[in-house]
Amino acid sequence: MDRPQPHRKGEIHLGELIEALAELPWQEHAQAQAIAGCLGFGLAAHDLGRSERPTPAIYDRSRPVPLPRREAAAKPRSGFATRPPPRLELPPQALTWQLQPITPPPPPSSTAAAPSWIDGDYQRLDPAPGTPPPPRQTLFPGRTARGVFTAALATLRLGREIDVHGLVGSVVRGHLPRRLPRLPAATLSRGCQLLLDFSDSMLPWWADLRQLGDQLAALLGDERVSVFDFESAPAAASQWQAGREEAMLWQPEAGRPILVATDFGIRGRSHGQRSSVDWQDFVRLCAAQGCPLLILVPWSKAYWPADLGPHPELLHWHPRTSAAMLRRQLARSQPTRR
Amino acid sequence: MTPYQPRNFTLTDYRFAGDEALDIPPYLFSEPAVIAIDVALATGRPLLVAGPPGCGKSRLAEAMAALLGWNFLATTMTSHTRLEELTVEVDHLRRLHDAHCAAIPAPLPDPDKPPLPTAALKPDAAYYTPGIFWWTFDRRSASRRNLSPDVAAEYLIGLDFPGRERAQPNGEENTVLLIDEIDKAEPDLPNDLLEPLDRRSVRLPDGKTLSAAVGQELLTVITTNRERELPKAFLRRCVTLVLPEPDADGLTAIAQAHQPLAERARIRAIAERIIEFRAKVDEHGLRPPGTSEFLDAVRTCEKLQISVDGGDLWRQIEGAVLLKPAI
Repeated sequence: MDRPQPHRKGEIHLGELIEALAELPWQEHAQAQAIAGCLGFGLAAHDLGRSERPTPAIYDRSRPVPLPRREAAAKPRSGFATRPPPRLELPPQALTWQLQPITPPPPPSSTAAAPSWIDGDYQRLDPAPGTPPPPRQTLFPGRTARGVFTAALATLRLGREIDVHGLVGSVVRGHLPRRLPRLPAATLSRGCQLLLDFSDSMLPWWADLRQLGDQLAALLGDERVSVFDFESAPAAASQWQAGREEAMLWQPEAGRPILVATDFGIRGRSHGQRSSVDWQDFVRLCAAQGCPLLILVPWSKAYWPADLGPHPELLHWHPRTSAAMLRRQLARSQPTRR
Repeated sequence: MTPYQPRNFTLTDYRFAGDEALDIPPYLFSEPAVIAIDVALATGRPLLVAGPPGCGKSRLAEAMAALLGWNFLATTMTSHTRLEELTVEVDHLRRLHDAHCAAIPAPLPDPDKPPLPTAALKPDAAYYTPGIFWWTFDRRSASRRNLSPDVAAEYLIGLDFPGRERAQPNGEENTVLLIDEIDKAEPDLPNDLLEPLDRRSVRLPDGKTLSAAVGQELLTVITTNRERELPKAFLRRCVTLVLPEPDADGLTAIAQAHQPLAERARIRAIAERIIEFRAKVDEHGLRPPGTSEFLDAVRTCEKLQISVDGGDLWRQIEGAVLLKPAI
């Protein structure tokens, strides 16, 4: 007879924190904080969902912070003797001047007075040092990214579970298979090669490209994501590695998924663009190596090139793209590949 | 400052002395670790332990099982691990084999020879392979593959406990379950574990559900090296503990607990070199040496009587044990 099934606990809630604080013999404030922290409450909580270090493989192309325009005069350090500034030699006699003040033109009667900043010097508003940047909205938000990437990059391998139906079918037909049939299982163990388009037309998405690399490394692990970047021809993508003098050129690895983030240089131009020869060669190269090819495009479907053939899977790089949509798209377009 | 005294277990000086007979090394607990374990025991939640490789995450579970006097079960995740492997699998191949044998007509009895035993297909449950969760929640039914004692005896079914069993008062079956390196599993597996961890039960292929007995205590320790991000839903159900790399004092204390007869000055010198190496390898993006590698170095230096003086022998130790080259 089955034992009574314990009720489902669900997520850790505030009641559990109160119970823990009431039950456990903490004596110092720091110990109470530690109890709350390990239950996920308070500032002492560890955020295990966040990576501690940035993904090192992606070259940081963010522009350097410009130096302040007007540098403050260096203050003499206290406690050190300073040399007095050299004395300027002035002419013995003051020169006369004949400049007249210009009277400003009267403002146009139909418009209000222009704001002062129009005539002022251009001033870039950089954040104060030490101020964290405001949080960015990602093109694949956290709640969907995991599912989308799993659906996009999962490949099939032979699982350990026996295909009982297949085996029974073989026996019923009167012949024993030479190998035990096993059911395929989806896996992310092959990781992916990530090719990022850092061309000028992708400039609005450069931060998203870096974020994409971080998201994939968080899901698959650093070791399973190889990140390359390119500017025009994806086949010429390369990767800089610490300790190497030359960039490592991209090469497809047989059967390993390739994820490309690019806009094909669309720049919002008219629909029905044709892809360049570079892209067509790249697609052929990936197909020849049996690499699943997925291309994330930040523009909507109407802008996508239609002449890349059936091999690449083009996906809209957009917050509304979901794992379910992606699975449907993949099942429709290439039912046998996965 | 008053050190925290746990309510759910007894620990003197935050130190477990080890058990030589069972080959369990000593373990030094930090206060955050003691608090997190006490919270996990009080709330009945799994304890998720994160930290760099070799910092003592898995040893923590083994030490706790010994300290509490509970059964200990452990499994290490791989990219091939599936939920069925952890709950229950059906051995289809053996069942097919038995069915095949049972279908062969029995030979005519030879009056001069003793009768051969007839092959027969066993009950379905005889082909179940219990996983680690089944063993944890109900070890008696797991050892009989959920057959009644009579039927199990008839088919000679009696599986051995796949972990370390300890005699407990009143026949209790409290268990420490270690699920090691969960970040090595497929990214969706942690979500699959929510059901057995939450409900403390496994569902069998015939639809029956086996649950842990009311009052049975369980400490589930799950470790991660943080190579991959874990699903948020999973994280929100776990008590979390991050074990940092110990500093030079901590390393020295750990080594002295492991090697009480070792020369203190040598241990201290090696600990200081480890801290130095950590800073160096961080600059070069390499993996810093962990506590287990430090203990290897101490053991080697002690055994071979090597001093940390920068000589050739020490450099060899550095290369082989501490600063492993990228291969």
